[in-house]
Amino acid sequence: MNFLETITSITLLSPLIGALILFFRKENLYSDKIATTLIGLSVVGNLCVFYYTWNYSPIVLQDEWFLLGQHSFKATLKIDQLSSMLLTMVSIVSLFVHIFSSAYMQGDPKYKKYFTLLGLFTFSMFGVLVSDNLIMLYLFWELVGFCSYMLIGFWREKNEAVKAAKKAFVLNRIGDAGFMVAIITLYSTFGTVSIEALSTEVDQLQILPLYIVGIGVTMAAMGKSAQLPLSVWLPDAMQGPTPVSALIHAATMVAAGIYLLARCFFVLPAEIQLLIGIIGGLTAFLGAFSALSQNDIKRILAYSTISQLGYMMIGIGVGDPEASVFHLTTHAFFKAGLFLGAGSIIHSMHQVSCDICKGFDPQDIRWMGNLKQYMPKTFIGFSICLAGLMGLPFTSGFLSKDAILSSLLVKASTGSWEWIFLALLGFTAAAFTAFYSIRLLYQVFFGKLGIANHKVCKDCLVLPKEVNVRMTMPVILLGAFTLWFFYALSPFETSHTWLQNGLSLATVDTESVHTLGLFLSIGVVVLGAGGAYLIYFKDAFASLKKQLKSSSLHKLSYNFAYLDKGYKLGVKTTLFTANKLENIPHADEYFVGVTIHTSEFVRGFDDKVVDFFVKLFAVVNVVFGHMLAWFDKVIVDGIVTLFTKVLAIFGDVFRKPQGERTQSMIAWSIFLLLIMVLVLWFI
Amino acid sequence: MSQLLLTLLVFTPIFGTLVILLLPNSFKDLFGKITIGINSFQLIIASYLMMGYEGLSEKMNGILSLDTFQYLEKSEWIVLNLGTFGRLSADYTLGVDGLSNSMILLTAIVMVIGAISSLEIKTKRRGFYALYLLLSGTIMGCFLALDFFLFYLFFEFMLLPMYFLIGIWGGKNSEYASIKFFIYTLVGSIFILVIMIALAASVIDPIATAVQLGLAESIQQVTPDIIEKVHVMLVSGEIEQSNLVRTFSLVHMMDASNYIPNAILSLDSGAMLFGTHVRFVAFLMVFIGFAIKLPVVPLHTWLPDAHVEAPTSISVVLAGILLKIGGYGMLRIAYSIFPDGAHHFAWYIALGGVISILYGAFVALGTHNLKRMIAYSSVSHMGFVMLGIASLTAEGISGAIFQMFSHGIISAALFLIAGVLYYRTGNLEIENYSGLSSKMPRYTMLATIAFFASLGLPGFSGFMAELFVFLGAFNSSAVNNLVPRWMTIVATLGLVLSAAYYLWAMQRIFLGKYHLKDESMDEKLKDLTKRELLMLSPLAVITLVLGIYPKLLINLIEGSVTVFVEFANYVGLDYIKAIIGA
Repeated sequence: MNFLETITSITLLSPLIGALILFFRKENLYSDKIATTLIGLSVVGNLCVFYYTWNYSPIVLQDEWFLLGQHSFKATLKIDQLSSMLLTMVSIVSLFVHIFSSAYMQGDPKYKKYFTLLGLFTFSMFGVLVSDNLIMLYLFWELVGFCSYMLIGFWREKNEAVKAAKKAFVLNRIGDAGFMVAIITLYSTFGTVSIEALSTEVDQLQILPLYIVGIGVTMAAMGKSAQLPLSVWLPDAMQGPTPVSALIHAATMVAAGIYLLARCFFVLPAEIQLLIGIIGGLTAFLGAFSALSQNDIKRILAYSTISQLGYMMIGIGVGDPEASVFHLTTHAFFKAGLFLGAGSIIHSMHQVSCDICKGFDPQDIRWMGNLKQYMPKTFIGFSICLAGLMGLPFTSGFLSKDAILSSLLVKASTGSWEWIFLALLGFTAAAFTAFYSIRLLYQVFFGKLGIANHKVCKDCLVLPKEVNVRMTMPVILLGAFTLWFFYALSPFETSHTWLQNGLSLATVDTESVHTLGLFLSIGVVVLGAGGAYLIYFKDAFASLKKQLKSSSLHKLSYNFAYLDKGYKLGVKTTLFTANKLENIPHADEYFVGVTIHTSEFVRGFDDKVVDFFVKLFAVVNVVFGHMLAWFDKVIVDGIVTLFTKVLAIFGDVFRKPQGERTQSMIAWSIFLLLIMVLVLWFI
Repeated sequence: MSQLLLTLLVFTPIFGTLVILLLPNSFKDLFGKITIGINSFQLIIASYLMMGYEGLSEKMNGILSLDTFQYLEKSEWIVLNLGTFGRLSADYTLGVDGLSNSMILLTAIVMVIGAISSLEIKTKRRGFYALYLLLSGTIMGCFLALDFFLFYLFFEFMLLPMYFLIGIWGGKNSEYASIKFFIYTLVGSIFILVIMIALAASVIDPIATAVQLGLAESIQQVTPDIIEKVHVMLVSGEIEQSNLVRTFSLVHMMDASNYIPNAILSLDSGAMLFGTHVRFVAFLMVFIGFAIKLPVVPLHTWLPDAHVEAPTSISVVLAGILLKIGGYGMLRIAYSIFPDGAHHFAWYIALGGVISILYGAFVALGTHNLKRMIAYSSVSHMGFVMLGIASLTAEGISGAIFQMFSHGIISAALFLIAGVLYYRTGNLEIENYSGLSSKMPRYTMLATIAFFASLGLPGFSGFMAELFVFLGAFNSSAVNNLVPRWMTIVATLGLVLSAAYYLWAMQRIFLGKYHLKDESMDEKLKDLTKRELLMLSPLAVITLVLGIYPKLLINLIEGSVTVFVEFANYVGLDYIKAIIGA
């Protein structure tokens, strides 16, 4: 193993080592420091790996895993530009989340367990990103799902949290089943499950297997990346601790689906790409639409995540995975920033309330307001990240979202109606995004503090305070990563950022629509943001707002198009049928019943007839036995006793007149006499 | 010494049974320890055997001929002179190959764990441990026997102790459950018995026949040429009936040239039964005999009842090992002797597997009793074994064996988990408990491991097994066209269902707020004892290690599996052609 391989191994393994150390430790103390140090090590290592892979060549580590039939399965790690870029992103976000958590989770009795799971998650996420063997990828893919399950249900006394965790895992399993089908199809068709080998062997002519594979990996992505109709788990997953939402349910794990599609892009036939595009477009639209009406700050961000993941799916669909991956990266930073910021806000809203405050929810934005005054540092970080989410110029979000939307425009400009429809969805969603972002900004940081109007709480109100530096610093730094200059020199150079250029994935030439794209992107953002500004900041269109709030459109948005209801119905029917199936009498029970009855009948016969003779025999025996016993006791024993008594009488008779020695002499003589009698008798 | 290791493996526990029966009552506290000791001794021998087993050797792969089995022990046992019908011989043949080695190891491991768990038994201990040891000996015998008669003897002798162990030491309704178990298995073994007799009437031992004919002086001197000659003579009918040596040897039964021309089960037999060739019917009968044991839907209903009523340690043995005899029997007997039937019925067998996977998982979702749920999950997991076997691909068969081993370990852990609760409160209704995690954290952790291992989380052995089965079953349509692709795709739904019922049970029993329906249980619920940890942790480690490093097991079985698959595919097709020709 050379130097580079050693570095790579340490980088990849250090989160796992951290998790193992914590697992075997007894006390909570220093858990955060151990975990954070090891993640820090990982960040440094990843930066080295990133530098090496971008300037030289991919790193490959390979070993034989097992041999099955004629096929040898190799455990292969391959770190190319795509992997190393995402590795760096994941480790940086993870580091920030670790630092944030050390303050956020302070005092939790399961502090150690929390960091153990974070470490395990980071390791598994690394695994997803570096596995070349699809089976290994699947392995880590499910492991991140497992960590997500454990972390969503981290406060396991909370019923909602536990249910949400189960829901997330089961819905993900539907996607995973698709992934499994894709893997076995690839194996059966091309005889290998290594992505690298597949990239040269895949034969576009074998169209049916490729359809199956395409649908399979799309299902996998739909599960992990919360695409319609499997997206209902993500809003519920917000029951987990907020930093977890930042790391897993915003920045990293949910992007794994997009990563998988980008990796396997070469196997996707055009029709499947269109399918991915349509799923992505609908998700982007519905997610943004639902975010408009939510009141829970985390749910707003969750729906926003769903919608942004939809954009990435569109990117895959239009054949520009480079743009998708770029958006994935930028989104990871600003969304993690937003979630951590939300964590800070929730944290300090918790301090505001008191025991008598009933019906107060620290996550509800209607109780917030004017927080910029109380939490200025969080405000700065949060609003920069929000700008990224909206896609304002000079932010990374603008660059990446515009890259996707311009590729979409290129497709739409060919005039086929599906793509025009998708472009419409995409741009509308962008406007919605700007709208709910401004609404969120206003409700949280501007206006009046909502809780000050609470009937009971206002009496015991403690004004919100800025949080610990370990919590503000990550938000501000993540905000800094949202600025454009990390990604491109010119803030308007959307399709030629150095990250995209280095990726060497498929891409779309967007030169023809560059200017149009720019103007449209900025236009819809201004439209959405302007509308929200007028409604919230300037209080315009008050009556329209009121009307909308009571309309069924609002309900549709608030309930995420009632998808959950549909699932509940499905689950209920399933359970009902399963229950019935378990309780129906099986045919064989009659069979067994009849057998037992017959045997009982035979036993009855046995009792009455056969047993009679047996009993009779037994009674006769017993009577005979008793007779024998009597005979034994009275006759035999009697004779013996009589004999001894006679002897005793004789003894007495003889003993009395003589001395003691004569007694034994008599005994001897009788004994000899007896022997003589016996001898005479037998002869 | 090493010549007798297998005999030692089988007969040490049976000897132990005698010892326990003869010891005076004042030793009754020692019975448990003696049992653990004997089973540990078995485990040591089994591990020693596995370490010495040459899994990757080219020649010693077993399956096809006796001299390729490892640790072979063979001696004459019963020879019946049938006068004009020649002779009938049953040999005492024990041997190990890739089909049986993992099962032997599994048996040894699970029996030790089961024995430790048996310490909970407080009544009639002499009888319990005597029967338990008898069971461990006969199970080993089943996996080791290479003679049908010997196998059948062990197979039947295994049934008896099981019947009493469930019936006497079981729960309230145990009589019903044990009778049901008995009837089911007995019906299965009658099927097997009939076919065994028919086979013995049709197959000769060419080696013994050669000696009988005077072609060679002793068995050792019989060369392949002489065997060839015997075969030729057999076909041409030159051998007189009285010189035929009929045999129960499983290996001889696999070779079509050992069949007496026009005998009932030979390929050229014109006999038809129910409109099908008699060999197909014979295959089906043996197969059903073992399918009851596995069990396969719809022959599975004895299993949940037996499990719910059986004491913990017997559940562990039942799920951990006894079910595997079904899968092993399919491979060793049904598939090896009738590969033609295997091809003929592959579609239906695969369908049976898929239905078992889905039906078992689906019903598990509707159960209210923890043990019943685990029992149905066993049905579902054994469906994977069926599907893998049906595919007749190296991946599928390896997957089936891997699944048998893995399920043996995991289900043992699951039933121990259920036993922990049952031992404390005597109640396994899921709705009675909630939020146990705060009260019993260690228990919850091990239960989580067992549940996730069973639902096939990657990293545990269950996942590897399912993956291999899926790979094999899907690949089958490209290799031998036995299992259609849609079946495998439908079977992947099992992944979703198993996650659903396990996580739901997890949520209801362990998570949420701590609450018990019956408050008096509260003080009984203590976290795991050292003894329980000692049983559960090795199982957790084994499933984890095999999940990450499947090579450890795969290398043991792969050589034999390759031979088996080649045999079953090529020879099976040949046989089918011969049958259709006839």
